[in-house]
Amino acid sequence: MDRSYKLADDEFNSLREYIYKRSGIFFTEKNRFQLEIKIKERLSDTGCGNIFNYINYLGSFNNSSDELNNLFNAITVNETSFFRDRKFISAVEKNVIPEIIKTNKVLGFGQVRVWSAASSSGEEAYTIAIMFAEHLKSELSKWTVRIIATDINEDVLKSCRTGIYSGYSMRNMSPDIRQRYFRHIDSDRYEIRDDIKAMVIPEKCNLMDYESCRKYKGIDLLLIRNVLIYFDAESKQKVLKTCFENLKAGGYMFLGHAETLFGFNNDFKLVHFVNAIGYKK
Amino acid sequence: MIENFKDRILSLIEYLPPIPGVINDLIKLLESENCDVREISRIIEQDPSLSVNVLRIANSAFYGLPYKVSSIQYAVNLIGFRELASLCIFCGVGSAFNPPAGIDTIDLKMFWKHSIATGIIAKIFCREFDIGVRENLYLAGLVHDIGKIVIDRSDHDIYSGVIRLTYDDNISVTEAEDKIIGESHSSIGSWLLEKWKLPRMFIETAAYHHLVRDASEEYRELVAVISLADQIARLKGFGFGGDMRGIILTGTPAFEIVRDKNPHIGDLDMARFVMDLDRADNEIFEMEKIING
Ligand SMILES: C[S@@+](CC[C@H](N)C(=O)[O-])C[C@H]1O[C@@H](n2cnc3c(N)ncnc32)[C@H](O)[C@@H]1O
Ligand SMILES: [Fe+2]
Ligand SMILES: [Fe+2]
Ligand SMILES: [Fe+2]
Ligand SMILES: [Fe+2]
Repeated sequence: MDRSYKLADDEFNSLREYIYKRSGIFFTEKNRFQLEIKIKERLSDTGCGNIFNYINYLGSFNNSSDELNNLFNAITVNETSFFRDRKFISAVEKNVIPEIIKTNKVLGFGQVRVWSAASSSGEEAYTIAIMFAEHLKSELSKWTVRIIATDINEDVLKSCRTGIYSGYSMRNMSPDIRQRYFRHIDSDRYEIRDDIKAMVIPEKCNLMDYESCRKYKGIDLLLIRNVLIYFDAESKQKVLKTCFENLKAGGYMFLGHAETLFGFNNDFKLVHFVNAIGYKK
Repeated sequence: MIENFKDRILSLIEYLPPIPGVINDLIKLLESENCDVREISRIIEQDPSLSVNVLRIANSAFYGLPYKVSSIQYAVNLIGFRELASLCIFCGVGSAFNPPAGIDTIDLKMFWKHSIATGIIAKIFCREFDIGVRENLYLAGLVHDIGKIVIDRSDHDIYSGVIRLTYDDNISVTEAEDKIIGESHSSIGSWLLEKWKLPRMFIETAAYHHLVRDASEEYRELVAVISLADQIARLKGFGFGGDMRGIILTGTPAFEIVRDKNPHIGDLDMARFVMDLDRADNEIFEMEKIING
């Protein structure tokens, strides 16, 4: 049986327009085949048969129908891992976290707000939590470090809530960190320590939806990594404007490896770290 | 703070052997406006060991020629008079600092790699962004931190403490020097280059690369370019010491000075420029081979 549903030109255009309007994700001609693979199951599960029926079907619900979630879950790419991108990790660990701790410390304790926007299954958020724990050591309990982990895809948020991961997603983690922060459940399942889990707050948030993004205010560190690549220029600009508003003055934002703001936004100051870049408000 | 540190350094510089006469001749040539290939070739040919070096440089992988160069005049034509003179001068300066056998030194490999990277990045920066500074960038990069070697030769135990502090506290060499010895490699380097009568632009590069606004109007842009290249070299992993801090390059005085003269660099993609500099790695490694013999 065919792995994909062959999209006619007008079907492809209508479907990608619909997806774009709802999520900011833009399928180019080059990615057409991927969309054809991903949409096939949605069409058969819903019994819609063709794209126009499917779009009508989606339109008959309000904004957050189950089927819209199923669609998001199907079309998003959720690849992620703990301590992904060594250079970025090192910049955050050596510079950003110490700076945030220093500026937020009042009378020996403090509060920190991190937003991992498009966090996928949470590895990125828990990585930051672990790094704060490593820096704060015994002071950790005196601090309130909140790491908001958001995504549009409910399936990945579900895994984030369990805090259970495979060895593969931990491949860039030192054995020592794994030892101290995870409990081996069985064969290939590891559960993150309770106090670290409590630092991370998973929530659903569509980056295209201004109202749902704007509540994450006063952010010290914002990670929006490896997601802007799926957006077109206009959506990028929109999202980045919200990011800028949500950051504290002096707060940091990091994009994915090799992504830059050039041509999309002039509000941020470009900060160079050793083999990595970040942005500062 | 260390007692009499400045006096000790000054007397060390006083007793260093002078640079060889032939290097002095090349320096004079570098300063003169018009100089022809025949003249520089004649000077080089007079000195057998320099001649051997020049041919080695010309035949190195760096210039990547498909055939073997055996005439000095041809080598000068090929490499360009200024670049070749720079390399010769640099070899002369560098050899004055070859450590006597058995003494401990700072990590000289890391040191020269940083200096080479600074020179090469300065060149690429000016070429790519069409900055009006072209001449002698390379040598300026090579000698900008020479004061570090002077301090190390004077008192290795103290200077290795300075370098260790840059790792422990994640601070720059200049800041660590300030904490421990109260004197900087910048001024010390400039004293040495002054004693050796290098052209003013190199003395100023050494003196002001961490304080670019203090450079004279005439060389301020050059010094600023070297200062930027110095930072970018560090950001590309060719730093010296343990300073891993982030920096807003476009907010530095060095960037502002270069932008004032070249307003178009305000619109350039600095993030991409620095990321793409990986292609300089090869050039840096090849040049390192030339310089370390
Ligand atoms: C490749 S993952 C990146 C995960 C993590 N940030 C990292 O770099 O490892 C991209 C994530 O972006 C999410 N995403 C895509 N479009 C989104 C949108 N409009 N709003 C929120 N999340 C979105 C996807 O569901 C996916 O989990
Ligand atoms: Fe990456
Ligand atoms: Fe320096
Ligand atoms: Fe330097
Ligand atoms: Fe420096």
